[in-house]
Amino acid sequence: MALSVDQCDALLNILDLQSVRNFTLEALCNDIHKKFEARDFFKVGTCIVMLLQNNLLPEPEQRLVAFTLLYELYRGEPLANTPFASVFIHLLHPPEHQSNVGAPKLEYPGQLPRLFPQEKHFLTQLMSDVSKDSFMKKTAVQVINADPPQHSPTDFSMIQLLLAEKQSELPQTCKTGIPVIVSLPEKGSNSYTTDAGSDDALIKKLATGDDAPMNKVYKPEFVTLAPPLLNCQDELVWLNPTTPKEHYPVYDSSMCVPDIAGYEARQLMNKAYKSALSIPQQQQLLTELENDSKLVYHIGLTPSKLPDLVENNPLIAIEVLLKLMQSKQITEYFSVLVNMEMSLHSMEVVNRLTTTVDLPTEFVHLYISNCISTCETIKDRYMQNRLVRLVCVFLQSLIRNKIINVQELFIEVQAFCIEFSRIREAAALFRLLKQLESGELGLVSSPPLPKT
Amino acid sequence: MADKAEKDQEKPPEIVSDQEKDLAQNALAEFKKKNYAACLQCINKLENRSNDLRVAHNKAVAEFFKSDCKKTEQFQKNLTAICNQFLVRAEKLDDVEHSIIQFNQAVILYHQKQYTAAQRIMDRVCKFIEPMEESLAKQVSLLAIELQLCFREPEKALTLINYLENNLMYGGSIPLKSFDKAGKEKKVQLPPPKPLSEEFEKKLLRYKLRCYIINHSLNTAFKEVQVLMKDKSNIDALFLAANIEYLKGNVRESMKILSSIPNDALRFSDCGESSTIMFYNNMGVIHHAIGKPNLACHYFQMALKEDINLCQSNSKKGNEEKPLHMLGGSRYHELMYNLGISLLHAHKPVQAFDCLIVAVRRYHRNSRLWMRIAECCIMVHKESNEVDFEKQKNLIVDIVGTKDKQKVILTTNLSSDKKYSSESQSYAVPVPSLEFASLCLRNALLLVPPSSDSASTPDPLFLIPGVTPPAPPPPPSASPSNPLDGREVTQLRNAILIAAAYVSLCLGDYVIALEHAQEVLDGESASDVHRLLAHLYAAEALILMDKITDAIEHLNPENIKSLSFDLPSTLDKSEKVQLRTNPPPKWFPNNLTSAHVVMQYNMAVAKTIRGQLDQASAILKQIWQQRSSVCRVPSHIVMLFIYIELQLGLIDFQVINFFLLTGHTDVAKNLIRQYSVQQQRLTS
Repeated sequence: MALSVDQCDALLNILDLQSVRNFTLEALCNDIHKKFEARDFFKVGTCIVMLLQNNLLPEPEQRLVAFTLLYELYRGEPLANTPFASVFIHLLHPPEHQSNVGAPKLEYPGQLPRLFPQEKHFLTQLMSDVSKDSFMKKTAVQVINADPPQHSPTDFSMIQLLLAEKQSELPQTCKTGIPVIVSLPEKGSNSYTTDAGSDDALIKKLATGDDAPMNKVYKPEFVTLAPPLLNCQDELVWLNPTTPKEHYPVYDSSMCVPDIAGYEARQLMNKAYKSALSIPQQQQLLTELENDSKLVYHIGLTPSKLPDLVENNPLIAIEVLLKLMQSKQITEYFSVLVNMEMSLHSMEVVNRLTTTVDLPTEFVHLYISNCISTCETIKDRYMQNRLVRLVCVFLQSLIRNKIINVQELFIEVQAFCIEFSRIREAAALFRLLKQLESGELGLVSSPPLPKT
Repeated sequence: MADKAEKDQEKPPEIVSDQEKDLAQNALAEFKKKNYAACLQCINKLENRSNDLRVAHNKAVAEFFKSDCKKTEQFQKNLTAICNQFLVRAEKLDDVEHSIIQFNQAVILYHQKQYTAAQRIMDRVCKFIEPMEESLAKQVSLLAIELQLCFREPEKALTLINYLENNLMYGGSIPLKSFDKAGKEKKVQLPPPKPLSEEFEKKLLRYKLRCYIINHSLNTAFKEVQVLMKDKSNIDALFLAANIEYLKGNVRESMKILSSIPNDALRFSDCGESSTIMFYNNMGVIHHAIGKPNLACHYFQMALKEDINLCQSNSKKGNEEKPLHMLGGSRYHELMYNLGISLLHAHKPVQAFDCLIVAVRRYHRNSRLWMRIAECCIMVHKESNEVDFEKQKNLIVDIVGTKDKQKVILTTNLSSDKKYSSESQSYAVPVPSLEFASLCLRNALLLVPPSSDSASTPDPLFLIPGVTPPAPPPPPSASPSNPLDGREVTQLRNAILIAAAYVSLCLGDYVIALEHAQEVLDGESASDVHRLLAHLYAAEALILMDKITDAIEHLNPENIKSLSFDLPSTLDKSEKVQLRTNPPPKWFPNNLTSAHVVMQYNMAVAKTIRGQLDQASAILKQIWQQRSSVCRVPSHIVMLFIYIELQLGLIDFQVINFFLLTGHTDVAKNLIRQYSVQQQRLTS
């Protein structure tokens, strides 16, 4: 983002004292357009400003050309929009110092040279709307030596205002940079002994290269502390023996060992899925289950077969489920039970279960909801009445046995009672609910059953 | 459909000829005697039972054992083939008879360290634990327990242990809670407990101890371990006891116990694990805890060498040749994790980064590990905060020209925290850069475990029968480390946010930086150090956002009253023994005054930016007076002095010239002295 050495040379050639003295301003401007492309204009401008700031253009003619070139770079555009507008304003109105400590401000970082009246006049003309032909055809020397014209104050306050507005939009941090190049004349050195050659070298050092000092600024810098390492407990892995040898494949020792008891039980179960068993058959099955606590797992019952069993042999289903209460599969059986088609038998099974063991509340609630919705959707009027009566009796039993907490289902059950109020049992259930509500039965006030 | 049809058709009544029965008996007997060849012969004679799942299964098992348990891959293939043939599917397992083959598959997966896959199978298999005969039930339970320990789920493991104990002692047939609802409380008659064998009881105790250790229930663990310690030759007990002592902070005792373990107590080729590796590793862990990370690294490297040695010497012959129990024996990833953390603490962030990147491939759901990787990146970027406090700093980059044209080129920045890069390189390249750190921290933040009180969602009660819902991915955990408790999670979250704020600030993303810093300040609790940093980062971000007034509030030294690394102590209700395993924290600035100086300095910067140069310069003078051997001041202070003086136009260039050009040894000091003189002159 800086000039190349060749470009720098080209610029310095244009600004060279010889060329400045010999060519007209117009010729020099054309030269710039010939040697630089529009995309490099900003770099050229930056370099010119740097030269001005650091007093590296000692002769007034050179400065004059520098101003002209700086203006020329962005000639077509409104002055306030060009990047170097503030430079012109600063040159015309050097900030005068409201110094905080009373002493006059002598220098400030990036200070621009103070101008002679002729220079100021020239600059004013350059910036105002008047025709520039009068001086562009002249050389810089001619311009300077021309008679100082009568003072014609020009008002740039519009531009100043625009610039100030632009500035105020910038965050403070953007406005704090100072150039990193600081003039530091050596002690006791004689002035004006420098030769141009060493100046060129100096300028090239400042203005060229990838990180040219002219592009850099120093801004007040924060101290940003890096965070400490997280300090925590028991982070590293401590290794303890895990005895991987513990876990080995196992041999199935039941290979070719016919399971006689299981076989007979299974045969009975197979019948039980299809039709009701006779009393002796039931007895036999139940006794066998009683005798061998693990047999229940070997009778071939799976959750998907449960509905058939419930429909055909509710008594067996109840016993089997009670035996499976400890099994990890019991939730799956429950889930089947709750979702199966509602019937007298399924209700009987659920009723027996509720009075014998603790069923999960969600399960009971889900079952009741299912019952109610079945009653509501069934088409056959006769069946509907039958089912409603059943559900009502079932619910009464649940309530009286304190198996459900009515309050949790109150609205649903009440709506159900009202919908079927033509049926005697529903009316009875409704009365029971009302009694509960009024506290007559003292059931409502009692806390819901503790789930032991 | 096919399996449906098969199910409806009742299995043929088991017609087993007497001859077949005898063959099976013989096969079993030979298997028990470990005559696998003879066993196989018997099984092969049962070939006309080609439709018998158990025959096919046992044949595969016997073949596997005949190969000295080395042909694991073949075994696995055989089992899969049998499952396909007999339509056994884990997700629809509803027959006890299929549980053995499934269990065997889970065993293999466990040894291959595919714990999630193993767990999925075991979830189903465990449902049939009641019908299983006792020895199988034991095997199944133990694997289930071990898997829970692999997942660092001590509560679940303890539930399983309890269940197993009950099941074994009471036969599992007694409903745990059963009473007659009619009111008659049916007293459950527990049969007299069946005593477990002493050996098995010890085995269970070992599992329990591992749970307690993961849980950090140190008191219980300490009591229980004494039972095992009665047997002085119990290697497991010694390791566990050393672990407990280490957690309690008794490092000497811990080292003593470790050293008492004979060198080759557990040989890798016999046990599938090596006590030597454990010893080196655990010694490393102890040294890390007492703040000797370099020594710790040494131990970890020894352990790694041993691990690579053992595992590679065996893998040369190909995976097929390794017996099952050695498959998962390598502790490479855990060791790399430990080594990485220790290297980081030993200020070797680049090496640490390489180790942790290896570890994270396995433990990619570990929030803290991602955070550690980010810390490596940060440390590579800025080794220590002390660089900002060094006496000597190059204020001047170059001096060009001579005589009256002499130009001094000042530095643009003294510290190199900020790195606003416009390179289009992807952030995701795993190199220790700030860009990569920002990705790591994003991962870390997403993976912070939920605080301990919010329990994980319970399994849904009602399932579609016979179909297991797809297992959810394992929850974020601290694996391979033990789980974090609530306070540690808070600390971790704060640390991640702070690191993320720092990285964002350095990368120029100050809006995000402010968000993170503010989140720490708004959080329920944060350590003093984290609050200090949050204030500093918030202030810097706010200034960059041109909200200087807000920023100055953050920089008030009153905001920070002490400099502790711990969360403000709450009334700890738990009577848990305090863990003492953290290395002593190290950080610069290490005292409150230094920390305040940094706040003040940044305050001076804020004022300078706002144009209040005289106030800023007063603050700088105040800081300068505070400096001492205890309280070091940032080296930026000199540069800010120069800046302010340049802005005020007061600088005496000749004086600076003198000091800057000659005083390279002690530029700052002389310069400042000069300034003080100048200031006095001006104020008087």
